[in-house]
Amino acid sequence: MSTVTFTFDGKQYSGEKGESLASALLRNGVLHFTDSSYKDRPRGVMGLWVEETNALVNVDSGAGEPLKPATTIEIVEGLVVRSAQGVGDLPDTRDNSRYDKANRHVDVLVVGAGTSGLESAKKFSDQGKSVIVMDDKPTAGGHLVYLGQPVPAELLAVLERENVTYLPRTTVQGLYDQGYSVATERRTDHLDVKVHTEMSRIRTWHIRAEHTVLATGAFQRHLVFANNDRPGIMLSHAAATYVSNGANPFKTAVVVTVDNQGYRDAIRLHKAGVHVAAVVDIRKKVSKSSKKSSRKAIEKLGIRLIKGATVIDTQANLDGLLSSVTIVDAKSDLQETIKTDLLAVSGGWTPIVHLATFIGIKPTWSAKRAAFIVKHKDSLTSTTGMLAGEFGDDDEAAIFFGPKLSTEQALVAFVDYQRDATYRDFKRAIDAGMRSIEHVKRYTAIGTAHDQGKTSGTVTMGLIGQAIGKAPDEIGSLTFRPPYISIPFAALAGRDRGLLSDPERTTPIHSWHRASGAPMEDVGQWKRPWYFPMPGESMHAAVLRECAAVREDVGVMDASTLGKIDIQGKDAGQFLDLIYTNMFSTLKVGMSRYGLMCGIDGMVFDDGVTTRISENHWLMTTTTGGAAKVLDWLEEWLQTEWPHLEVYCTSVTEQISTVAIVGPKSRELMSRLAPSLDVSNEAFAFMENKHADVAGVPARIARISFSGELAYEINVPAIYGLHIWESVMAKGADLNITPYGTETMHVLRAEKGFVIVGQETDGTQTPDDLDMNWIVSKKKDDFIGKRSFSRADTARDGRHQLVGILPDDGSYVIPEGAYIVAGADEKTAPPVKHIGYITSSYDSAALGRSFALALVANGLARKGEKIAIPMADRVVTGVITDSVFVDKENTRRDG
Amino acid sequence: MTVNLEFAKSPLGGAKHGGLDKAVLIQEVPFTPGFDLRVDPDSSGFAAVSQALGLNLNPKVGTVVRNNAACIVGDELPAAGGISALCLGPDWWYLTGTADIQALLKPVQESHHISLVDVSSQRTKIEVYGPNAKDVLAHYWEQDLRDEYFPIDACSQGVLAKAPLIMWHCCENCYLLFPRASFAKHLWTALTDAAVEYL
Repeated sequence: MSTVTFTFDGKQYSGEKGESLASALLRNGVLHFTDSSYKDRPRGVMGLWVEETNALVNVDSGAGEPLKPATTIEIVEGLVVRSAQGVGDLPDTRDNSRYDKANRHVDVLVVGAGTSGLESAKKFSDQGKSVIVMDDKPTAGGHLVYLGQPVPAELLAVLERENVTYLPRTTVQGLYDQGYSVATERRTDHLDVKVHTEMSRIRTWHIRAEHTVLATGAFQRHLVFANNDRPGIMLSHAAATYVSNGANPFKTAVVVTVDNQGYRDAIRLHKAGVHVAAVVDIRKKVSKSSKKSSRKAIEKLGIRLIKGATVIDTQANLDGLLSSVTIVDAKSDLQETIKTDLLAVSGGWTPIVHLATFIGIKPTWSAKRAAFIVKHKDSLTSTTGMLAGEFGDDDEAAIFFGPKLSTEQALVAFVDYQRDATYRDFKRAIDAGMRSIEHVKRYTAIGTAHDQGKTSGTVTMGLIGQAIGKAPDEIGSLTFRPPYISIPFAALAGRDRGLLSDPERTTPIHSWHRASGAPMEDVGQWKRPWYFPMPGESMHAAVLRECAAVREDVGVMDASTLGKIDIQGKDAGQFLDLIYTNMFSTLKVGMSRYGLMCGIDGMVFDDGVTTRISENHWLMTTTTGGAAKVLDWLEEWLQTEWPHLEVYCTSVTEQISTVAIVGPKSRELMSRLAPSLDVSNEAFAFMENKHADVAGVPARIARISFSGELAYEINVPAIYGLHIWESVMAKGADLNITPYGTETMHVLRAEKGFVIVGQETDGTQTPDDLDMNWIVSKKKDDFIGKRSFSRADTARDGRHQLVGILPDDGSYVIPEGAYIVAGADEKTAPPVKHIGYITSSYDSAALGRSFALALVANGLARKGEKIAIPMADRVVTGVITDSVFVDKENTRRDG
Repeated sequence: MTVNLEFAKSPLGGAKHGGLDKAVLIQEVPFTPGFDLRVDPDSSGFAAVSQALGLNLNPKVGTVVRNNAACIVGDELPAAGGISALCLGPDWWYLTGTADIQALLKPVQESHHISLVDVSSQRTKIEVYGPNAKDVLAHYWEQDLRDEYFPIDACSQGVLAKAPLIMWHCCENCYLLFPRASFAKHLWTALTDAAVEYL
């Protein structure tokens, strides 16, 4: 053992490396650990492990962690902690530790490396199964370690076997259906030097086991009497263990017990040099074997035994530390006071049933053990050891949770230490008619602290039983929820932080966009360039410049993110006729057509341009965000409704990179890029597709326009996307080639009144509502959504319809989403009925003023009407117009 | 289609991490040809495809049949001229290999209802090889990678570090990942980060 120094509440101490902080502080004589959360009562360490209810600390060194039980912290050199009076906080410094996650599939998971767990591991390992053993403590052996007894070597050797993995410091936090469990492994906090500099601090394990063995053991519990919370009052198993390990600030001890564990701990205390003044046992009579193993054993050591009695009250010295205890005879009520600085409490064992209850297994009450146990075995889960009720032969206990108390005593008799919940609080719940532990818990806050009732749960069940004259199992059963102990959020996040929190999807041209300094817009998971500012240029100025370049010269846009679906089969035309509202089967090979698709409710679902590559081969494009949903939609109809159609759909979104060159000078640029291609309007018409080499790469070129301008979309295999972009920039340098982003694209299409599904629509617009009746076929027998167009609601008066809005003040851009009120003169203060809202709004270079698109009730019939838009600081007035602002006659698309 | 290396760029530029002699090697194998094949196993086209490819397609989802080497390391079959067929769905295969798959299947396409789509640019290929390859993948991958349950020439579609991909166990300690190109950089960051404790 080496010595390390650590800091507690600003004061330096030393302790033995690896011992718990609680043990080290007791070694240093620190008994008054902190004050209680609400009542400021002095408190000391109660327990040994995660059942600790008092001694919580905030860790400032290392990664920092709030509200950790001092019993679970292994001290290392330089550890800095502060006592936490029920309130956690973290250091302000950033936690730079790594956290990760790992999946593991295994034949058998054994939870708990006590003797029962190790025996199970051995059994399954012998059968050739792969076994993983997880235990939340630093060493294997369970209670034997606490008792200072050697763990059988043949059991420890199991952990070294080829087919066995042993993970210490690993807490199984949750057990779920079908053998799935989640555990957290603390990997670095106990190390002075990490094994690997990049080692993760906490690893969250996701285990899928064919069989899970629960060998979780048990905690000791306390008794409820007056002033049962003073420093110097501890669980007997904890006190005996600390003292035996040399962490002994005590001179005298009184042991109060309901079972034989108190006797064993009295003997350990005695052997460690503490004067045991008395063992106080509530039981008048015990079995023969208990008499022999327990009562005779302490008599031999000269320890006084007080039978049929218990502790009812305690007293403190001026420092608030325990100084004496008051014993009461259960029958005669006669009292006696004994001086002592340690009261070791053995209130019975509470098996750790948490994991079993997580998967719905109900614990049963064992009257002999005075404990809820889980005896369970099925193909997925089994229990063993103390959890299964396998206590020592003479581990019999009285069903006793505390003596009868006066009202004054009840005010200071604590049921849940951390919550400062007393017997008086508990009694008020009972007197108010609460009987279920779930009700009592919510009425009193018992079991709601960091420990979630690890020790107070069974005590409360017992007290309810005692209060209303029922056995604990008649009250109900204990149920817990994951996690077993608190988990830092960072451990749950694992690697899913920062860049890895969500994928950034990028196009083949992304590196160019980044290098140009373009800010990115998130479109789903895609990163798309928003605009391409010149040095020092504002977004507003950049977008106006990009728009002007497209309308006057030539712009270039990366359209690679558009969804693309390859459709093949002899029935593809018929299929598309059913999917789209307009006709496709008549489309000539080599031509493209814009299509609109609706849901079965007749509402616009997605749109895009679809091209007939050859007789039975089509290429559909979808919106960027709609790609996956449209492919699912197509597959659903093919697989469930129209399996007779010979059609196959394949996603090719990322196979094809699309570079759009747009503007009056795009024809000149196209001819430079593809010298072999006749780019004249006669040879290469609007909506036509041509195949040609572009900058040395075979490409499909489509004359499609989303801006109203002459435009060519160059489609190549994605590996050539960047090459095409760079060639466009090089060949167009003298034509004022201007890269533009999503913002300019939005402005240009809005000037033409082209809708964006999801911006001009919210799932409640029919094609008619978008003033697109022209795209709904009157010839086709059927298509998805057709039937819904004859519903009364889709034809009713007052539907929101797409219109343009021109604000009277052309320098003002109305915020998108702003609500519209009818008539410029009407009152605009609430309450006022709105008639619609703004869907898109921009400043336009082409118009030299601002404009907007909007959905307005009966909007198509209201063109020319005045409207008002009440804003926080002003009322904006304007007029309803047609939704097409630029080039209504489509004269520009042919150049 | 042959790749014009003068103009082509792979999503990861042939990146490499770790090494053959290390716990793990992670490397992009750029420009790997790939095709999505759709054919109904109960149709006449199915036998025609198998015959044309010279490979008995297995309609059991999650299996791979092949007559070529799949990876740069560890595999013993010849690399050139062959085809691997990964069954991804009841009527869906992912074909990869250096054979001229398009030419082989062109006659079948003309006479049967099948669909063959070149997706060579759509996905890239990442090899994860080495004694700790499984461990690196298991930091994200939830499926059972034990050899009894995911043997050599098993394949699966799933999500690794939130990136959808095809995974293929091609030979001992070697796994091939076929992510969508747009996810490649994200996946690379995730894989190299997960490898940090092994290198």
